[in-house]
Amino acid sequence: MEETVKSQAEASQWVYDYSDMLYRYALQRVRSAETAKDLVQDTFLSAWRNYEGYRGEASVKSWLFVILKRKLIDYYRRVAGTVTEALDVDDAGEARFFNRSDHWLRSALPAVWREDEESSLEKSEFYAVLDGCKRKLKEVQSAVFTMKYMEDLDSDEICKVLDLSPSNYWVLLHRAKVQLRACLEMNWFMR
Amino acid sequence: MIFIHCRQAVDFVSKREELKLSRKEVIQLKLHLFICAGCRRFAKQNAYVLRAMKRYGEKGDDGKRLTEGDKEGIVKGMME
Repeated sequence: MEETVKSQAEASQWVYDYSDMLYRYALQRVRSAETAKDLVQDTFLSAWRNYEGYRGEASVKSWLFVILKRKLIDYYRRVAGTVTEALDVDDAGEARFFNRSDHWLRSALPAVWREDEESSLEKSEFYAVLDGCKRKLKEVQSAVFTMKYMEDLDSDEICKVLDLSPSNYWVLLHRAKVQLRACLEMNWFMR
Repeated sequence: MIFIHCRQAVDFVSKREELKLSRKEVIQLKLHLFICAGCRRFAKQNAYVLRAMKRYGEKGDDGKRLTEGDKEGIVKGMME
């Protein structure tokens, strides 16, 4: 009986101490708050179930993050599984930026930004806009982009983990970059 | 062809970040950026966006929290 009480207290302590931290980490990396919440829940469940496997070698916090990162990789893999055909750079994704002779459309030509770039990096409103722009990407574009530029993973490794062809990987990543820049320009730097 | 169009230049900018350009493509891109202010801005702003995104990923507390109900649900799940 006492064992159970003790366990519950410990479980509560873990959740109380680390769940918000894990949630924020996941939220930045997946599309919806619901998915982030599910990943955090799964993380705690896995951690609890494998409690024996944790022998205090690392801190509870880093152990939980290791598990969450593994769950995130599974999520990226699921999302990437939706890409079954070869993607073409010339598809509609980019067409709205360039005209038929492959020059910038007047509306898409990168502008001289009005807002200062360096001081923007210090503002939380800027990151809210950045976050919003990232959420406008297609889920699979966002997954590839996140792995590359937030997780800092190597391109070959990303292709391998997601089972993507290098050319599809490039198309996804490239489109994400072009769209993110345009979205930030419109919603922050030239708003 | 030593001259490339903007669409290709933008593609090359992406590839350059991964050092995936051939020597010929490097020269083509340099030449294009020399004559095209729009693509020069793209290259610079694109690098900035990637830097901002990295910083965003490293940023700490932005105030987002799970609700108390969510947390209780997680603990309950752990006890099952």
